[in-house]
Amino acid sequence: MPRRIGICRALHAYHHYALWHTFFAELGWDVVLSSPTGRNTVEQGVRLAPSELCLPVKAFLGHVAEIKDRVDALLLPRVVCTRIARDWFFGCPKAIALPDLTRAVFDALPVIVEPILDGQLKTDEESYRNAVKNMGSTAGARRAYKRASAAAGRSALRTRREGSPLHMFGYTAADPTLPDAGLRVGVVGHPYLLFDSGLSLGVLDKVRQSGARPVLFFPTAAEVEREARLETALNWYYELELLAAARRLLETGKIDGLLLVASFACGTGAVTNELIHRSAVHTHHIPTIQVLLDEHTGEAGLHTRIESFVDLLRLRKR
Amino acid sequence: MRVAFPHMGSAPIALEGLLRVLGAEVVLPPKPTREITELGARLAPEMMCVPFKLTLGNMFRCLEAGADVLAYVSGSWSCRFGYYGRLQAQILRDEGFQFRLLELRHDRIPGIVREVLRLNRGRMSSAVLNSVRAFRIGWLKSTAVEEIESRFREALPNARDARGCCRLVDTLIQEVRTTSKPAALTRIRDTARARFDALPRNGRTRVLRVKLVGESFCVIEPFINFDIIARMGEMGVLVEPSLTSHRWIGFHGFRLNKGEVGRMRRLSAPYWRYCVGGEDQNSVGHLLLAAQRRFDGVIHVHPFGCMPGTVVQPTMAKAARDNNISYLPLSLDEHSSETGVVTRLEAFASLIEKRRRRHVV
Repeated sequence: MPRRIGICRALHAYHHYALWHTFFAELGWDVVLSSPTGRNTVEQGVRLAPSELCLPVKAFLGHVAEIKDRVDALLLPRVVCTRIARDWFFGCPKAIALPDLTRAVFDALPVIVEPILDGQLKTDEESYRNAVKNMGSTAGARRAYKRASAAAGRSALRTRREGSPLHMFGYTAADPTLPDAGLRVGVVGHPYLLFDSGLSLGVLDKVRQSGARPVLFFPTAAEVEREARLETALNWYYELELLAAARRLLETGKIDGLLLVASFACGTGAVTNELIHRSAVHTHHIPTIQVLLDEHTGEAGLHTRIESFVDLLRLRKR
Repeated sequence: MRVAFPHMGSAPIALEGLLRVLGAEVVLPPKPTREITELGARLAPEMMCVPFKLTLGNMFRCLEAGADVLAYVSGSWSCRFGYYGRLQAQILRDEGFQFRLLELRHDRIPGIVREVLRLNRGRMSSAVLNSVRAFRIGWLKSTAVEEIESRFREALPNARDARGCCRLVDTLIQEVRTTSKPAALTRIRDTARARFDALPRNGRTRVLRVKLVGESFCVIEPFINFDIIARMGEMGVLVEPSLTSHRWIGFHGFRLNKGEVGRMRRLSAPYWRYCVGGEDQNSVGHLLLAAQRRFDGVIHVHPFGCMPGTVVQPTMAKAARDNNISYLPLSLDEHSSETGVVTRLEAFASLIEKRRRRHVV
């Protein structure tokens, strides 16, 4: 009987689900993905987590609660650091401590598959192979990782083309037939927040409904590396992606306004968004709005803010 | 060159001594006040942690007072502390100040050496000599302050007159601040114990012991933690901090105490695997150590929104449960109310007191 491995539809799944799915499927596991984030997921997470944690991590715990009794093993990646150019780039403290946090919050958990992605110790491939070493079925782990990383490459290309990582979960891209004319609003935020409509309350749709086109940019590895070489780089890997995306949008994106989406108490976001905000307003003179999301955010309030921002851009353009 | 550095606890005393001997002019950071906190909070990103806001307000005032070099301990790691210097410099430049940013980090050592040489007009021999003297004075001041503060912590729960005890610690620290003679500093350090012992005692036989752990700034800076050590001391509780200004300088400035870091790592391994900042690993380790050493409780402080401080909380709670030790987490920021914090401290003190009595009887 094939064993089931649970993967939470949260946080890094929005980056790496293609890799994980292929890797475990190749090893002969049944991959069980948790359901899309709903009211219930968030409420569960909020109840379990300390109140000060950011919304995506709370939701992650909600996903664990939903999936943990349906699977034989649970994937809990520990994203520590990776090398770009000549320097080390880290995950945020919450990403590094995610397995510790999960173990502290839940009393009973299935077997935990914990790849420790620490480039200072091992390559990613070794980390994944190590993580499944004690789980049996390790024969072919090398080949499985090779296929998985090829799948991840294809998936990244598709993410860039479609402007959304949701294809990994089997959704088709948002309607690309929208007219290109009119207002363009650049959007910068972590994919696990922006594209999880249970958390972001469909902020991208709200931009569309207000009559503007959301413009997103997913940087290539080369663009991230260029950003990493700058004197002003922050040594957080996922923030580097946001900085590279914002730079591209501001410099060549022909955008009328910039929307920064972050969760309340996102520690890295406090720094990144401040840098992007300063550069957008002082250097590029692009109107910028910052939306902070948490479990108390009301949909009507969010709608009003986006609508009035787009109205403002329209007035300004005239 | 007029140097300023962020204020934290009693660290400025040693740093000021060190820099003066080195030949730099020092703009002493003002002690934090409500007004400085509000200034920092106005300029800083809203979601930034409170040590950032406090030190930003502090540096603003230093620049107004004429500083032209800002020195920060800095680095590239997962906690936001490593980016304080760079981000604050950008904010302060946008406010119209002109200054040089001196980042004290391991990969910038040649630059730091150049600064020291410049202070000594490029003469290597006098630079070396002055550096040796400077580090000696800095170290003596730091150890003297450490000794005074630790004697004070022990004396306070037993003192009949708590005010008098607090006055004595202020007097002694002032003596350290004003003198730069090695002999005088050694004398102050060596007589501190006797001077505290001479205070009249209140006859308390049972002193409760609490370990204070958490993020460095919140543990060390009395303004932001509402002076937990003195307040609990007045309630008859001896509070032992996991970090002091002296130990912080040793840890983060000169990478001393490697043995202790390793020990904390081993202790905390079952609960916490990676040190991500905010003293998370040390906090877990110190909690377990406190349980082994039969402390009566642990207080864990961190700034609101501190990434490591927040994420380690469930682990701290679980470790405290597993090891049967009372645990009080406190999240602090510029909006914390003194009354709220003090009420919780009082409740905690009476809880551990009751618990102790139950176990003894």
